Amino acid sequence: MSLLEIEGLRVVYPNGHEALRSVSLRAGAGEIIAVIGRSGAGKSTLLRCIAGLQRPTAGAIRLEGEEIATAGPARLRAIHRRVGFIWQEYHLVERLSAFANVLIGRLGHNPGPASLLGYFNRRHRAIAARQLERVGLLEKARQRADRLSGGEKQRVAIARALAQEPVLLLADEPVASLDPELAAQVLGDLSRIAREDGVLTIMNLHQVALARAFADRVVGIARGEVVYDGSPQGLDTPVLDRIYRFDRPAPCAAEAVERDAATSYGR
Amino acid sequence: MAADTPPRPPPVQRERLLDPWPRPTLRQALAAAVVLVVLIWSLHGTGASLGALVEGAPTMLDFLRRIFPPRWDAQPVTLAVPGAPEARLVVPLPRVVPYIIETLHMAVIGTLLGVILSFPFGLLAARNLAPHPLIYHGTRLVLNINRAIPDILFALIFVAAVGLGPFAGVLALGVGAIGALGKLYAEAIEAIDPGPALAVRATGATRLQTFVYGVLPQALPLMASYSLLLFEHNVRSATILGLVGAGGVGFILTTYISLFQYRELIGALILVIMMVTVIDWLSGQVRRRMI
Repeated sequence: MSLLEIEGLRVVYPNGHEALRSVSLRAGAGEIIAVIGRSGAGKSTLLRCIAGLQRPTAGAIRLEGEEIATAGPARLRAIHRRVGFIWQEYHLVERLSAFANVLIGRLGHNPGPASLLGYFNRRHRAIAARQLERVGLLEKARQRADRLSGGEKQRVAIARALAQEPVLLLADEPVASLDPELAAQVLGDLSRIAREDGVLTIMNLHQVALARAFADRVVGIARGEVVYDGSPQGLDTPVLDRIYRFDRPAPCAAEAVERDAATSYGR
Repeated sequence: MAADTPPRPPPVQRERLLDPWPRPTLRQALAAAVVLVVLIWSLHGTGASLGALVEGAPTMLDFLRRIFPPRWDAQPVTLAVPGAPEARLVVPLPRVVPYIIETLHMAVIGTLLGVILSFPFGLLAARNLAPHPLIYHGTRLVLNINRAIPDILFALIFVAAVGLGPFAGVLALGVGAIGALGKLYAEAIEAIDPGPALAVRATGATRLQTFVYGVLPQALPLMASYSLLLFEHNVRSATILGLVGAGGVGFILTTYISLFQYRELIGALILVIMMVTVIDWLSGQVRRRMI
């Protein structure tokens, strides 16, 4: 049994758009997987389904053998606790301090009524402090989140996800809002920590170069289907053509990739 | 391609574009006519007339003569001196001052009560939080009804229920606030960014935790600001509740009026206006720092 098993995942939106056609995937602990594909290929939908934030139309998703796609609210909360999610827009609570934001990652492990008054025992606080230290922001623990830079915000968001002590980390375009240099740094931190903890990490990426640099497995999605699943070294021109140049003629794949990345920055 | 072209706009009349004066459109003319009709009707309905104003002028002048200069009927007040248990300090204090202080006490407790009562209504009237559309619409209806009832009516009801005095006024202010404050709270909650709240929920937090950590921190500054606005309103409102015996400075104002002590009335009003101005300014300063 793999840590994560996805079988025949299909998602059809109410407007009839088929975001995922039939996706099957297996992944084990410690893997760092980049999901690449054009905007609208279904990457975000896939991640949201795995996180239990969206119900698929059909198919199965099992985390440690437990079914996510059909879980009820209580089971789903228990699953959420083990799955860290990193968002493109960070989604920090801006008026709280960096440390308070990381402590939010402990809420699932601290369900008592005292948590509503801000009570976290020393162990919870120690875990949060350690994760903030690992992303290099312990000295900014007391600073309000809205005073942090974009790169710092995403690092706090990573620390929040790590504070959950997850078995699975999902990152939906984690660095798409950052400049290229910062993007590489933040992604470097994320993949380093994920590797240290041996936590399965799946991240949607826009840039093939980043996927090559930081992932040890790449899944290419086009039109809601997996068209490539293999090592980053296998991403040659015909493969990139399959992933990116699906229905429009482009002079070369690299250019199409660039154009795709450029257009999707604007959203 | 030809089928997709939109219908051509009517040809612009070149001559009309060259008119030196703008010509009102039919809509503008109609709107002006409606406003004019409403104004004339209202003038007629209120019996407003320039003649009555001119005729009343001498009476008004007489009134102005009788209120100036303002007068403060001072009352000796005995104060204990801190550190000297036997010593007593006797200070002449305008009779209105204790009532002004009572008005402030009423506004403070009335606001506290209003905040406590409005909070649950605010949650249920927020579209993004209400557990069911029916509850949302039901709560909004209750708030609308509450808003339609003037504070003074609540004061009459509570004077009948708990007797004359500031407690009736406090209840009137608190209950009377639900309609406005509940709606403002709901709007503050609806204005939050749903992203962080979703992120909190996605960590495995319970619904209550998601509210406390994902929703409340975002809505709180606006809610606190609205609460202070209510306090300002309550200070002003509490000055008239005394008219129906619900405590506060209104009681002594009505006494002065019924005894024709207009100079004392104006003296008291000056102090009330000063108090309201200072409170509004202070509260405004705090609100500015909060957002």
